[in-house]
Amino acid sequence: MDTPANDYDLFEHEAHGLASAMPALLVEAARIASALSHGIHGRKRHGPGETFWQFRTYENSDAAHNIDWRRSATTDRLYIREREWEASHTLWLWPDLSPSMSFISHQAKSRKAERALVLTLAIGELLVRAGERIGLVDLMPPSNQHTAPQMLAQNIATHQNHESFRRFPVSRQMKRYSECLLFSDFLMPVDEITDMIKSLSARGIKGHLVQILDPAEETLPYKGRVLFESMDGNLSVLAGRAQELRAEYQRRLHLHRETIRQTAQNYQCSFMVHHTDRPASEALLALYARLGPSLPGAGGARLTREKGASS
Amino acid sequence: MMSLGPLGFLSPWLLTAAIVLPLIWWLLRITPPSPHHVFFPATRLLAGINKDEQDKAHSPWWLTLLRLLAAAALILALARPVLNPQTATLEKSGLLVALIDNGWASAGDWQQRASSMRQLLERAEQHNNSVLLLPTADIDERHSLKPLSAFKAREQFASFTPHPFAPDRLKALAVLNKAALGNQQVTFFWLSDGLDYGHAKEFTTGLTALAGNAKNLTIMKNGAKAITPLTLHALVNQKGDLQATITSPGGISYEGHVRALDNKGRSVFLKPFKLAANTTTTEVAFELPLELRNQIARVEIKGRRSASTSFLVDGRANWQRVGLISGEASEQAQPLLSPLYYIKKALKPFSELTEPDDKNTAQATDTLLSRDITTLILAGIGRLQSKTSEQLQDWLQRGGVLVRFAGPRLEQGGDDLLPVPLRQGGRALGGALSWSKPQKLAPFEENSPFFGLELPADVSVKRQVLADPSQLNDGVLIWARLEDGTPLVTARKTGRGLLVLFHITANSTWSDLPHSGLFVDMLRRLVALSSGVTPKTDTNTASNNPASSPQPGDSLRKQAELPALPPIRILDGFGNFTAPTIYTKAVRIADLDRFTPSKIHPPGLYGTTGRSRALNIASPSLTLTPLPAPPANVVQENYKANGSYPLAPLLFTLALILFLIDSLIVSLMQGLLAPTGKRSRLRKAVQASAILLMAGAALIGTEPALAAPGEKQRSAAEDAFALNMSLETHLAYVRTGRPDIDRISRLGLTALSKKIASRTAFEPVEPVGVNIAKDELAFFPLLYWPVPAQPADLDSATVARINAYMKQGGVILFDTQDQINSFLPGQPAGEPTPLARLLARMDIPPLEPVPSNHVLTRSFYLLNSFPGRWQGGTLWVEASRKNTSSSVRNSDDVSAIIITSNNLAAAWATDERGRTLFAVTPNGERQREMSYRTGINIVMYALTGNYKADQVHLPALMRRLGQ
Repeated sequence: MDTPANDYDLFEHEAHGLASAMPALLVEAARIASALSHGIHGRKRHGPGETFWQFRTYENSDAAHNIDWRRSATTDRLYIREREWEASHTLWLWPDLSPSMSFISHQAKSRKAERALVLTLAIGELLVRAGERIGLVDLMPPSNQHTAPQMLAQNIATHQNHESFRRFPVSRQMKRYSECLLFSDFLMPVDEITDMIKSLSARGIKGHLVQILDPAEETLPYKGRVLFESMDGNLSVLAGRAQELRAEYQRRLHLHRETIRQTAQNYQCSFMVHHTDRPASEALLALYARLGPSLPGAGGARLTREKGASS
Repeated sequence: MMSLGPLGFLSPWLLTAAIVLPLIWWLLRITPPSPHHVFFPATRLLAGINKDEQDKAHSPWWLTLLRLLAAAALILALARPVLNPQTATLEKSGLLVALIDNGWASAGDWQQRASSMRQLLERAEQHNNSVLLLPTADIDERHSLKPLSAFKAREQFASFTPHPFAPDRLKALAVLNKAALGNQQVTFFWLSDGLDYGHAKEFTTGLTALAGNAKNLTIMKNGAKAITPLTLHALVNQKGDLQATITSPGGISYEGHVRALDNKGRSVFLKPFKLAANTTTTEVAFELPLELRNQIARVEIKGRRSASTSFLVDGRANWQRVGLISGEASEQAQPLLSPLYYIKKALKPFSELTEPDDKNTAQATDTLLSRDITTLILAGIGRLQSKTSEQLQDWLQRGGVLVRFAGPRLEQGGDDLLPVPLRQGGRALGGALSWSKPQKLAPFEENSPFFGLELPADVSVKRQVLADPSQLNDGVLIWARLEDGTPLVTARKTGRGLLVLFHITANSTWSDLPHSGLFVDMLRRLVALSSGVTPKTDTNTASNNPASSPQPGDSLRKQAELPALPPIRILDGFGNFTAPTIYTKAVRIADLDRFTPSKIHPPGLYGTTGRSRALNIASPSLTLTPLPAPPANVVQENYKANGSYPLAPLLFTLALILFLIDSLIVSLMQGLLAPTGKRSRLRKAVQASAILLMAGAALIGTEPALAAPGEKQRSAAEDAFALNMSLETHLAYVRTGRPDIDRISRLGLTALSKKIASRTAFEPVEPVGVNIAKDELAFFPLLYWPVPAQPADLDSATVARINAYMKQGGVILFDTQDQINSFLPGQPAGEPTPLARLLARMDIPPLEPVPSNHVLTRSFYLLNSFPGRWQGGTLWVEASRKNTSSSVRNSDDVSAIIITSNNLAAAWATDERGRTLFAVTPNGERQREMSYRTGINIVMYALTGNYKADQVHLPALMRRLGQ
C-alpha cells in the first residue's frame, strides 16, 4: 500500500480506508438501528393511507370507485370512505467530512468523521425502516425504499471528496417541512453556523445539529511546548506551556457551544453534543428520542424494543 | 608542547577556544528546543490566548551542561592531549636519526617501543624534522640513507616488526658512518632493547662521536617496570625429564608460568617459576611420563610473545624408534617363550617398534638401519656377521643405542660387538648340584641410568653369562649388579652411541626380571638414552672409488656434501610460526648446534617433516648482559611503563557519545514525552532506536554490516522465502505478468486449497504466485501455469530451471484457457499456439491424451472427464513409459507436465465470500463441482504419484490372499 506523501494525500488515504470500512460501518449502523423501532405516522388528515379516517358524503367530483358501498347501503346517501394520510417525512442527512473531522487523539476510539458516518448510516437505516424518506444534499434524492441505506452508503463512499461534504447544506433541493440532520464538530466560526441555522429556518427546514467532538478537544490534554496547527494547516499557534491555555480554551469552547445552542433554540433547531470516546449507540438513542416528538402525526415515536413490540 | 603533570598538550594554543564556552552557554540558553507539533482542529479557538511564558521555553540546565561538556571534550580533543608525554627535546627542522633495536629482545614490549617511536615521529613532524630510521636487526649495506619526512617515516615504521635474531648494531654504526649526514643539525635517538650483545660500549662511543655533542644523543632504556628480555631454553636432563632454563639479564624479579605445548598447540604442562632479582637463571623441570614428554613440541613462558621465550623441542627429545631382532624362530609357536615378547610389551606404549619379517639377521639389520631407528635390540643372537657388525659399529658411532640380551648362543663367547668380552660358558645358580641360590639384584648405583628405580623383592636371576673380570676396565660401565657383585647390565660408550648388554635372556627362562615392572622401567630409560642418530656420511664414495686418491681438502669437501636441512617453518619475532622468508637458507646439520640465529638462519624447524631439527635463540651457553652505563652527558630516558597515551581519540568518542545522548534526549522530549497518537509515538520510538543503533554502529565500527548490504539482504530474503515455503505446503501458480490472469489464478487456487483442505487430509495454505525467472521452485509440488495469448519469452537460464524442476519431480499444469476458441469459427490453422511457442524450448517428453485407465482418473475421485470453465478440451499428459525413454521422466512415473485448455482456475475461482466469479458452461454447477474434483485429482496425483496405480494389482493380491 502506498504511503501518503502529503497531508492532502493523507486525508484521501484515510478516506479510502473509511470507504473500505463502509460495509463494517453499515453493519454497525444496522446493528445499532435494529435496537429501535418506529412506526409510520399519520398526518391526522385524510389522504392516501391504509387506516380508516372518516366517512364523508359523496360529491360530484369524487370518483365512483371511492364509494363505500357497504356504508352507503345502510342509508340513502352515498358515502366516501376516507383514509388517514400516512405520508412519510423527508430528512436530509449531512455528515461533515472536512479535514477537521479526520482528527483523532490518543483518548478517542475513532475519528470524528468515522463517528459521523456511523451515525448518518444508522439514523438513515432507522428512518427508512420507519418509512421516512432520507436524502443526501446534492447527491441523493430522498427515497424511502429499503435499499436507501445502501444507496446512502454507496453515495457517501463514491463522493466522499465531494464538496458538499465540506460545507453546510444550502441546496434548493431541500423543500419546506423537511428536516435536516447535521453531524459536524461545529468548530467553524460561529457566524457561519448562525447563518446556516437562519437560512435553514427561513426555508422552513428544521435542523438537528449533532456536535461530534474528540475528548481531547474538550480537555486540551497537552503539556509543555506545543505548536498547534489547524487540520488544513492554515493556522498555527505556538504555546509555550500548553497546560496554561487549558482553562481559557475550555471557556472559549463553552462560549462557542452555548452561542450555537442558543441560536439553535431560537430558530427551533435542536442541538446535542457527542464525544467520540462514548459509544455511538448513545448518541443515536438521544438523537432518535429527539427526532421522535418532532415528527408530526403519531404523537411521538414509540421507543420500543422491536422484540417487545412483536410479542 | 605544554604539560600539566602527567598530561601534555601537543597543540596547546587550541585550548584558547575554551573561551567560547560561555558564549555557547548563552546561545544554548536563549535557543528554545523546537516545540512538539500537534494537528488540532480547534486551533482557531486557541489563537490569541496570550499566556506564553517564554522563560519556560529554555532547555533544561542539565541539557545545556551536557552540550557544554560535549563542546569542551571536542576542544580538549583538538588540543591533542597526551598522557605521559616524552620530555626529550628536538631541534627545529633538523635531522632526526632514530635507531631502534628490533631484535629478539624487543618483542616482549614491542608495543611500548612502537608507541615511543610513534610519539617521537609525531613530535618530529611538528618540529618539521626529517627522519632517518635505522632498524638495527635487519640493516644491511643497501639500506636507504635518504632522510624522509616524518610522515613518510611513520609509514615506514609501521612496517617494522621485531626479528627473531640479535641486532647487529655495529653494522648499523658502519652504515651510519658511511652516510654523509652533512652539516645539518642532527639529533640521535637510540631506542635500545637494554641488552649488551658484547659491543654496546663500542656502539655508544661511535654514536657519541657521530653526534658530536653527547647531548644530541638520547638513549631510551627499559624502565624499572618495563618488560625485561628473557630467554628460555629446554633440555632433557640426566633424569630424563625436560628441564627449562629461564635466563634474564639480572636485576629484576619475575614470576610467571612455563608452559609446554604439543605440536597442535595444546597445553601439556604448566608450571610456575620465580626469578629472583639477584640471580640470572632459574630452572624448571617437567616431571612427566615419557609418553607425554615425547609429545612436547614447544616450551614457552606463558603470556610472553617473543621468539626468545619460545623454545622449539625437536626430535632429540622425541618419540623413539626401536628396532627388534630375535635370533630364534619360535615366536609364532610359543609366544610367551619368545625372547621379544616381554620387550615388545614393555616398549609398545611409548615408542615405535619395528620388526623386520626377514629371518636373515644381516638383511634384517640392513632394513632396520635404513628405517632410521635410534635403538636396536638384539635378543638371543650369538655371533653377528662381520659385515653386519661393521654396519652396526658405524651406526653406533653416529649415536645409535644397541641393546643386546644374552642367550644360550652367547654363552659360547659371542662376538666383538659387546661392552665387555665374556667368559666361555655361563653361570647357573641354584641348580640341583649347586650350593648357591638364585641371586637377587643389588640396588642401582648412582652413575647408572637405572638409579632410583625400586627393586621388587621377588626378582631373582638363575642363570647368566659372565663378563671376563680381567677385561673390566674403565671403559666398561656396570649399570646393574647382582647381590654378589657380578655385573648384570654392562655398557660401553661407542662414539656418540651406546652398546648395552643384559647378561640374561629377554624371556623368563634365565630370570624373573622380564616378568617384573622393573624390566619395563629399565627398558624405557634405555630407549630414552638415544639422542638421535646423525645421518650417515657418504663414506662409500671414497671407499667404493679407489681411483680417487685422498686429497687434502677431502674432509672439507665431505663436510660440504652433508645434506643441508631446508627450513620448514620459522619463528617470527613474536614466537609465532610463519613460512620461511626469501632470505631463509638451509642449514647444515653439523652447523646447527654452533649457530646463533641470524637473518638467513632464523630460529625455527629445519629438515623434513617428522625428522625436523630445531634452531633456537636460547642455548645453554647464552648469558644476557645489561647495557653498560653510557658516557656522561648522554641523555637517558626510560620507556614509560604504561607508555605515553594520546587521549584525543578517547575525547572525540566522548564528545560523540555526549552529542548522541543529547539528540536522543531531544527527540525523547519532543516525541515520546508528549501525548500523541500511538502511531506517531511508535514512529518516534523507531527514530530513537535508529539513533541508538547508529551510535552503536559508529562506536563498534561494524564495517562488515555496511559492506555489500544488498547481497546480505537478498540472501536473507531468499532464506525467508525458502523458510516460508518449506514449512508448509503451498500450491503455486506462475505469475504471467497480467494482473487479471494472475488474480484469477490466485483466487482459483485459494478456492481449490479450501476444497482440498475440507475434503482431503492435505491442508495446503495460501497459494503462492511465483516469478518463474527468479524464485526457487523446489518447494512446490505443483505449478499452475496459465498460458496467456502472448506469453513472455523465457531466457535460457529459466528454461534450464524449469527442466530441472520437472526432472526433480515437480509437476507443471499448463492451462491454455482457450477451449472457448474451439467454439469460435475461423481459427487460423497453421499458426503455432502460444503454448507451442512456450514449450518449444523446454525439454518436453512425448504427450498423449489421458488414457481412460490413467492414475489421474482415480487419484482421489473417479473421473471420466476433466472439465474446467469449459468442457471438452483434452487433458494431455506424458505418454506412458513403454513408449518412450525421455530424459524428463521421473522414477515415480508421474507425468511432469499436464496440459489442459479448460481454464480450470476460472471454474475454481471464488471471491472472499465464496461466491463464484465465472459461469461454467455448459453444465453449470455440476460441471464446477467436477472441475474441483479435477483439481483435487491433479493435486493428489502430484503429491502421491503412482500410489493409486497399484490398484491394478489388487485382483492379483486378493487372489494371493485366498479371497
